[in-house]
Amino acid sequence: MLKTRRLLTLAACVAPALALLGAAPQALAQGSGPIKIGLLTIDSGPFATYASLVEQGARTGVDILNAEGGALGRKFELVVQSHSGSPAAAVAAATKLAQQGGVSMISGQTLSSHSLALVPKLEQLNVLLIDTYAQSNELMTKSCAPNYFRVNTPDALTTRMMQDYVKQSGAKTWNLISADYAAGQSFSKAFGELVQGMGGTVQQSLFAPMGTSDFGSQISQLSKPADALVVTLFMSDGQSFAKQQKQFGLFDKYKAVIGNGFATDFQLEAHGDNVLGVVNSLSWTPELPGARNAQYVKEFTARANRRPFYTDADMMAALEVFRAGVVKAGSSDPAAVRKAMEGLKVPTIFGTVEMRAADHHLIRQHGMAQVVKGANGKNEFVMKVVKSGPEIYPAPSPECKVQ
Amino acid sequence: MDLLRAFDVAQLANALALASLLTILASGLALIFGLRDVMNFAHGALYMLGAYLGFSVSKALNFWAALVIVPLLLALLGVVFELAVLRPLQKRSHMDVALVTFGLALVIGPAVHKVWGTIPLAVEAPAALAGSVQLLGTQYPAYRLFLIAAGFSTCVALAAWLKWTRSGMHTRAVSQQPHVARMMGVNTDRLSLLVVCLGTGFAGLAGVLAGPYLSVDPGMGATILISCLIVVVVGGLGSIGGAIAAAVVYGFIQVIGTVMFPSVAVLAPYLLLFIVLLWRPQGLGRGRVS
Repeated sequence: MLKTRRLLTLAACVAPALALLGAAPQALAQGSGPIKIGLLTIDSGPFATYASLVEQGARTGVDILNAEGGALGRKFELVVQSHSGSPAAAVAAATKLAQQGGVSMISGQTLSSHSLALVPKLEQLNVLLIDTYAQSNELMTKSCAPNYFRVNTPDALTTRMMQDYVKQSGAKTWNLISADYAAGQSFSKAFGELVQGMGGTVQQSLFAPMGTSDFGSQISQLSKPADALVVTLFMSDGQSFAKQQKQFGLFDKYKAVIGNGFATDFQLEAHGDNVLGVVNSLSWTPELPGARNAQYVKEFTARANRRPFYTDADMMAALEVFRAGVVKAGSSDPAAVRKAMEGLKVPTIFGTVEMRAADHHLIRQHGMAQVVKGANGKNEFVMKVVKSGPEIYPAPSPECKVQ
Repeated sequence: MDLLRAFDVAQLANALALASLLTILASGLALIFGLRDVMNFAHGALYMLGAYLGFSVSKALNFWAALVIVPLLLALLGVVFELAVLRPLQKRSHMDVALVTFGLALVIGPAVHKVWGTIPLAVEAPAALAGSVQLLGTQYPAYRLFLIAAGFSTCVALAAWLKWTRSGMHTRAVSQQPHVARMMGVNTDRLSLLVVCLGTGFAGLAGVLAGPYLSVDPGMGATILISCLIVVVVGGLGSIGGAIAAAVVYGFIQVIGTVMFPSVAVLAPYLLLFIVLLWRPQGLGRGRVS
């Protein structure tokens, strides 16, 4: 009896101590020392090819913020966690970052399927996700979450930007080829609705599994052309498609070719002439106006030995918004930063932009750009149109509950 | 209607192009398995190495030079593979050797990433094959037709070697009755060296041919290895003829699946594997190196 009571007393003393020990890394990380930021990267599959660029962009962004003094007298520190690319692996990696890495905020290569899987876990993990990658519309409607924020442009915005081009092109019939995953499906659905709403028709909407290397059969199907083609294929998949379509002469059969995440700035050199003439959505270029933007481009180029891409700019904006939240909250505690970021107007490389309180989306610019042959013989983007956030962002969805 | 679309000329040629690449790779894998009894999990990584070397040699010289030099370089690597890995481990269990080859793949992959980086590289088709030609009324890429010709010529050459040359006869003998062949005076070590070099050389050849056809990227080895293993198992472990037949079936199933059932096309090869293993567990071929 006495032995049992002693054991119970011991357990009663040890349990809170263990609980404190478990919580210690997070508590310490949020109170003093560096403010830890988690970066998720993918180390296999088509998205792995650009993981090093994402990491370089984030490291350079953190270095720039630290050179500016960090926040609350503390420096930022990047903790990188790579995973295989499945949603389950992304959740496991984010859990590790939050529970063992002591990070307050996570960002990085979060595909739509990853973010959708992470959203329900964020509060429990006591971490913020500031997305710079996922494009799915669902993340601004029914899958909104208190700890989820997004600075990159969602599909709805890309569709909105394409609206003018759909009108201008005069195309009545459209063919679509998209990646067979959340963002590709979400975009093709939204684009189909847009075309139908404007009196056009989608003749073919093909989906290619992620990691497809031979697009021959899809290209052969698309060879019975419509007026215009929309390509939503990413990373190495997009590159394979671009090269193979050139061999088939596919793009020559269309009046207009529009890309979504296809002819991107960081792939332009690798694409060569295979994407010449393609009009692609592009949310940022180094040439956009603003002193802060020019300074960022200069600093980034000096530190990373290359010009920043739009993905780097999105990451920088995420870091700037997070820093502003930390400063306003006076703490790196995720709950306090979340509250501080809601409705916050932040001076960023995009100009002064607002993190909309109703759905945690940064109301920022978006644009369309065409791939052309530059004066130096190299391919480059020419920005065709840029619109500010308030012009193009849809009103917050009533389905979105962030409070 | 969909069936007609799946069987138009371009789609049939697409199936054959994929089949010829798989045939070259799977033949190399089947050869090594037939003689050495080893499932070489490094085959995909060697193919990737071949593609990256093909990129560099094409850039420095040209594609045609790469088509000759890279398979020779990979064959040289095959000498090292045979002498340093397979021969010392020949008395170890299949699982031990398979794990070592798997480990090799894990070493070769990051080494390639370190040298060439992780960003996909573009290898253009040589000028003579860059455009498209009329194929029964359909515009079709000339390079894919070249790939089909190259793939099936390689198979014919391999079959001729196995059937009509002394070393080919010895290879068939050793793969089916190694002890008897040894008693009859066949130098199995020398033969094994030749076959492993051929196998790795084929991986290099497939890598160079894949450059202008697919994209040269870090994931290419792992992706094709799975397809290749399916082809080798469906064809019958170690059977060259079976591997060729299985590669053609694989190509057609993949293309027909993509056109008719796009949402489940990715599962089609696994379904093929499942059906063949149930119906004919020994595979489509007639046995080892036949």
